[in-house]
Amino acid sequence: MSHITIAASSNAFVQLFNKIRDNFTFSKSDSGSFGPFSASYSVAMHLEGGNIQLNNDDTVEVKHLKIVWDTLKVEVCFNLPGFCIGGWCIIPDPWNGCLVGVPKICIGGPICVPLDLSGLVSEVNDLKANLKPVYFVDPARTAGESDLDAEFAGHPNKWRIFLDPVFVHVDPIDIPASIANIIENIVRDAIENMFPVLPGFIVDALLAAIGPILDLVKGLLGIVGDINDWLTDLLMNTFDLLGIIETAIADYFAAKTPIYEFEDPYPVLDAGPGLIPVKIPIRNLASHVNSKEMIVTADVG
Amino acid sequence: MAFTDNCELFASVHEDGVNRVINHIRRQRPSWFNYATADIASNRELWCSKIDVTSDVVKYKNSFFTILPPLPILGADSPPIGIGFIAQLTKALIDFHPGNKFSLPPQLSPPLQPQHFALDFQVCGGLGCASEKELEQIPIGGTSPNAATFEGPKTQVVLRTQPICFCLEVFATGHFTLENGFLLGHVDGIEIVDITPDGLESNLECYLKMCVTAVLREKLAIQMEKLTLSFPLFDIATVTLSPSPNPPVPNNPAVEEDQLKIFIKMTV
Repeated sequence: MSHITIAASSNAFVQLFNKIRDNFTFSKSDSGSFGPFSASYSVAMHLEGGNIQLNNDDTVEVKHLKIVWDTLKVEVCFNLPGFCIGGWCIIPDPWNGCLVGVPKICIGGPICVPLDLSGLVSEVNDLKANLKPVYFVDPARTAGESDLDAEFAGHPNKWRIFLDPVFVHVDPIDIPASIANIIENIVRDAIENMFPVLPGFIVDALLAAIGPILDLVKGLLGIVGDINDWLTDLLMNTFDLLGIIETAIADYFAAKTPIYEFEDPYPVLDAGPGLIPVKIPIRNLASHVNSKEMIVTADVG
Repeated sequence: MAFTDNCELFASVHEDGVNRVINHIRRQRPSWFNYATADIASNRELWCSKIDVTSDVVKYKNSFFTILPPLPILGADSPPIGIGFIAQLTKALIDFHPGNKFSLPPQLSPPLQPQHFALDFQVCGGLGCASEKELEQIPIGGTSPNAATFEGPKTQVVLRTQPICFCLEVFATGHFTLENGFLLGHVDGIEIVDITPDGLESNLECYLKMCVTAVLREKLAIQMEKLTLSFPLFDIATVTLSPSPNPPVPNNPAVEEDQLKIFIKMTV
């Protein structure tokens, strides 16, 4: 029989999980060129909620863990090919050409579409993990240093129990279809800015000549289907944000933030004047879960 | 049945683990186990029992003994005379119900009662005994201002002595309570084996009971947090932990199945 047994109910385990969940933050930015366009993104996120279940197969499962995108900014830049529109004569001059006409205007050049999707919420659909005890030897510890020396120097060894994910399934961000209107407006504004100052009706005539803006953009970027789906694919697959997030979450739980941690040897009596602290070695740490609780066992060395 | 059917956090420690902890404390904090006057503490030839300590105790120059003032010789006041003495706790073993580590003496009504613990410890000690030659140094007629061997009047003189060591086997029974977040041991009965007359035995038993009680209250009242190896629920600001009440937990702490168990409820 183990010398020490500690058990935390599923309710208590949820509190432990919430504590480490709330400390998770992630941010990243990247950019790339993809043929007809270039893109960049900047993201920052944290986790909220989640339904936690302890299983009899020694696993912990977390479902519907919300990913709150505190920052989700994307910029897509492309080159509007140069072309000329206008140059039409509205009222011809029978003697000398044209009395009233639309001037010939040539446009083209780079257009960037900055999109701010901050505040969107997606989710870790399913995270399944085992409890994994790990013995941590502080790399700052020097050879020949006793446990007490290491404690006084601020780098004692530690027992840590991690949630080691078996898998992490992150759902893609669900970018709303309304993003198409936003893109359309931004591109329209960009094109209008390429025009010289003209009466409104002429601008409208020129834009009408260009045709539907969204179709133009989709044509230039090679988009087949909905632009929101294309944007999701750009972030999640082309930039592999999905994989990056899954890795970040797995790494956070499996190696960075233990669910339970204590010093080894474990201090049972504090130091006093002329007295070193009393520390007991903890051995054979094991951790398991069943549907009702988490159980940690250990021996006194 | 789950450990946490009636609580949110459960901790238990087996008597074998506690006995190892006692041994670690003994080796790392020897001054809690060894008491002597300075003259005896400084001469290991006079110790009743060898002292085993960790290398850190030596490295950090921790004292092996709690140094105590000499025991006065009654009637001596010109000058006052003291003698050395030594007391060492050389063995300490705990047994949680059911008792199976050692046999209790009949005076403690074995077997060990449910929800109780038993202690078996050995105290070795001795009073310093001066040689005839040393006693002859005591000035006839009291202190002379020019007495060569004494520093002066009213300053206690400590005779050079050698303790005559003896060992007592002591048994105690007791129970635990949880008070203000601390696990506290209480001594219910104590028995010194093979000592007469009864009056002397009773005096010594009372003294030892007071010693054990004082140590349990002052030094060995253990925080619940420590018992759970600093389980991280204790540092969550939104969570309050307190002992589970009766009902549903009839004994908290419980001493059963050779273990000490505590049951903690959580309020979020």
